[in-house]
Amino acid sequence: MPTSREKHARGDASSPRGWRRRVVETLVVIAVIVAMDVICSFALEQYGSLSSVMWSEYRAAAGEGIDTVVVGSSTSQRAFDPQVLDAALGTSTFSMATPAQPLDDSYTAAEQAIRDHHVRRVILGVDYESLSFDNWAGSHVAFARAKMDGEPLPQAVADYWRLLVSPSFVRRADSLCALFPWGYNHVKLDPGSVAANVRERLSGDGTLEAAKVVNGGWTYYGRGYGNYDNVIDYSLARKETSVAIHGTSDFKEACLNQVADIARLCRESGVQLVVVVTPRPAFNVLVYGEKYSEQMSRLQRVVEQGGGTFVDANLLRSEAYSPLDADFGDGEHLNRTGATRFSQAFASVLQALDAGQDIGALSYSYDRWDQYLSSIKHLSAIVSRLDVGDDGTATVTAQAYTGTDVQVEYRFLLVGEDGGTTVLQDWSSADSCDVPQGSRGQVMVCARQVGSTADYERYCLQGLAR
Amino acid sequence: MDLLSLSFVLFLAVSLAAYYLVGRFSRRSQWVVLLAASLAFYCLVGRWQTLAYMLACAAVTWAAPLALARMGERCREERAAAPDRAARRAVRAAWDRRRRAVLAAALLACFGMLAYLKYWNVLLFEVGLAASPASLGLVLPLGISFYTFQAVSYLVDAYNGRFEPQRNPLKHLLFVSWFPQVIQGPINRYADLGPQLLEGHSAKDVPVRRSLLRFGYGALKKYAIANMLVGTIDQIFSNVTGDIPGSVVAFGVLLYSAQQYGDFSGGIDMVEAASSLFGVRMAENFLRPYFSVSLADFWRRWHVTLGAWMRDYVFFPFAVSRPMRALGARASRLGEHLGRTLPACAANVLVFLIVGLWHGAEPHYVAWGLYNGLVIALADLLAPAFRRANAALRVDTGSRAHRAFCVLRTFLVVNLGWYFDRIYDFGDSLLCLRNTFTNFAPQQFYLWLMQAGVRDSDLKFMAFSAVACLFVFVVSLAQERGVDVSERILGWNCVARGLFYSAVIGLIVITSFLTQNAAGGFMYANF
Repeated sequence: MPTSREKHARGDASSPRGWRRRVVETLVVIAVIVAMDVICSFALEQYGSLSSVMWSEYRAAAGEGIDTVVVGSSTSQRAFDPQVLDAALGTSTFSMATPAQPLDDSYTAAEQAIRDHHVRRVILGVDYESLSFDNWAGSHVAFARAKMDGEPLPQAVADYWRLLVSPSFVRRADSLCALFPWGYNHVKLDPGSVAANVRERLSGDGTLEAAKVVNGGWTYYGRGYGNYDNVIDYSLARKETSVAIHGTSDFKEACLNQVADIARLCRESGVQLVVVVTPRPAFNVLVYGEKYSEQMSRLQRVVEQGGGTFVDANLLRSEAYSPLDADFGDGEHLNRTGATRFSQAFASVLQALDAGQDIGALSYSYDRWDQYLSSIKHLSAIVSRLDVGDDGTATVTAQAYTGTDVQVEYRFLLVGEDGGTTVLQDWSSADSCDVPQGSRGQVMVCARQVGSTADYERYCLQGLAR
Repeated sequence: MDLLSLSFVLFLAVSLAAYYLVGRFSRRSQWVVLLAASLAFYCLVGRWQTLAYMLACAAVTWAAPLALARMGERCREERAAAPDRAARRAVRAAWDRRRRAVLAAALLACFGMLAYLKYWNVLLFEVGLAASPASLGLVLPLGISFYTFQAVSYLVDAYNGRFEPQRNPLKHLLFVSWFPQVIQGPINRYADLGPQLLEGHSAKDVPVRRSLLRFGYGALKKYAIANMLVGTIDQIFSNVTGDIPGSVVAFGVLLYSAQQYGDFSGGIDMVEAASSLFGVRMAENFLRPYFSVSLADFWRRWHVTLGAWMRDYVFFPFAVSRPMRALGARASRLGEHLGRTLPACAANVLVFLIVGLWHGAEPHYVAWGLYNGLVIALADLLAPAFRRANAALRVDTGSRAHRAFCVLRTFLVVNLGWYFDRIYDFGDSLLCLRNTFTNFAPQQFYLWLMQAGVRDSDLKFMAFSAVACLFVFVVSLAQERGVDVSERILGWNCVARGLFYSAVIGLIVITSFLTQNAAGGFMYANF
């Protein structure tokens, strides 16, 4: 039996002093961990995220009237220019869309706007991935943290707790790891980026100024809306397809339920809901094949059953909206010019809706997918793949994304490592070409519509490495 | 439900609170809380619809030992009443036959369920009678392999009279369904686990800090190593073509070594820690296997409880069976060593064939099992030749250098085996093996990875895994030398511990975020 002195000497946990010491030690350990968390958040958590810009601008507009809000992910954020909509419709629109905004955060944003401003219209911009992909933990955390910034502590804690116990978090490691938010929306993990982030925080700049620094080329135009001016390079279409980035999956039931929840919220609040599939280059619709119409029609049913209005901007007839090649910043987003043109067109759709017209007539329908396919009169993009046989023979095969009525011809050129070109196969309808053994460099695949005399309408480069 | 998640933490907190609260009033009733928690966990993590299989398995393995015990008593009564020795022998023989029939029926029921749910569809697919390995829509119950093997060990041990069978079906159900073990083992024995589950514990006896430390160590292995690497491994081995460079294959297999160890042993660390918070110590399942000096040694350190199960219920019964004894006798004419080891070699091949099938019915798993069995069998058969060679070359087999050589050799042999485990097409496994030796092509390494879809960032972020691997290596090395690493860390001053925990948490947070789309559940969840 140890004496009390012996127990004290070894800090025996069963003695009162041992317990006290153990508790103090534990508190110190927790304090060190919290301190490290705070320091890391200060240094690593992105200062000037677009979510924080949205929320700070939204709070700044507290005294202004807002009757329409745009919610959704970056495709929505970069498709709707509130000032263009307002000029055409006489409304007062604010964009609450943020990058990779998950649908439950869209619900939160819409709910907040309905509560604060009694808005009369919610525009939910979505794309295929909004419904097929529900794993946006980083965006969730950034959105919640930005929302918390201007809230009283109890509300902020309640909001964050709600995030941690939300269905997409509670059963995953994110529900614990998000207690360390710097891991979710951090700057590049190199000394230069960390130092720049700390400097920006200490500079006294607001989040908007910081966002302009962080997001090079991004310009803020007010009312929650900002955009880029870059234009897509169609020769890189293979990398730009959403399928290449995210793969193709069916829409998740959970995502469709979240859309139904937003529809219910709007219906019960007497708010008009318009769900818009945002514009993208035709190749990025065609790449899904018939899955696109099959899955989007599921979304359309959910929206219409919930009392909302559904518009697929990609299926609008040319009289209503016809994007130009230069309207897109990449395979999924409009640039500023594209957003202006689309917002003008979309305002007309809303005017027709407000006038009680049947806006369904403005679009092709998913039931008549063939009509949509034959409506595409241009060559949207060309991609290629390289097949190497066991015997070392290489074949480049091209795939053109275009309408069913468009006749395409191809030319294959070998671009050597010195930049010189050799025609491997001149213009013909053959979409594949054997590459001579030992060739080095890249194969340039050119495509144009039959009858065209252009050098090419679209091209892509196929590496011959391996 | 991930083990590293708020839902599991809340589940654990509620279960622990209920367990120790009940313990304040009645230690004898604490096991009821464990049973309720285990069934709730099974329904939360698996599908409640598959609970019936576990209940059926528990019912069979509860009833059969009781029937066997009852038959034993009847046998004793009848023998006592028998007039002479011959009659007693006849009575015993008759009851032994009946007892064997009961055992066989119970084993058939348990393994029948496992075989039907796990192998039937794959078998039909392999012979062209099913459209895909999952086309029948059979739902594999969570942990079926683990609880079946554990329940069967109870059944066989009870048959052999190792303990009195449990009369309370709910207490037996707790042994089968104990929630930390159902995800991925270990396969516990009743004699070790049963009493701990039933005896009740007090919170003050529980090594909380050690348990939390082990939980964190497991999470680090799981997230910073396994989950970080799984995406790259998938990209490499789902793009196997005739010209895949051997350098890429070797890289993929090495990553798989780390990934598999991180995933499996990390998960085991987490469930062992969770169990120990209730005062229940489960069997150890990993003993630093990559420090093994031979393949046989490796399998004594990797998935220890499966190895012990195979040893006790397959290897020994088979090795001492009448045909094997006869084989040994015949072989001994060619030499004493051969006579002694040949039955064991045959038993090893059988054991590893079963282990291969336990992983799955696909041909590559069978090949992987046979590879391990044959290598171990050959090593046993050739042991005298190796000894003679060592003597002739004057190799100091007790030296540190020789041990390092053996560890390295074993590492290579194990990794060759992983070719058949990880590459899901047997033909591709052979192709990759060939290219490793005939087309290593390191100059194509980077280009090939890029073409397979591995991004620069994936390679860059492997630095996190490298740090974690280094940490695990240092800890394992210290443990090999008998250092109690947990005790050392818990002995640091609290500020140093806080900083250390922050670093580990930071690594887990970053890697968890980086891999949130790459990893599913524990890869051993369905074995």
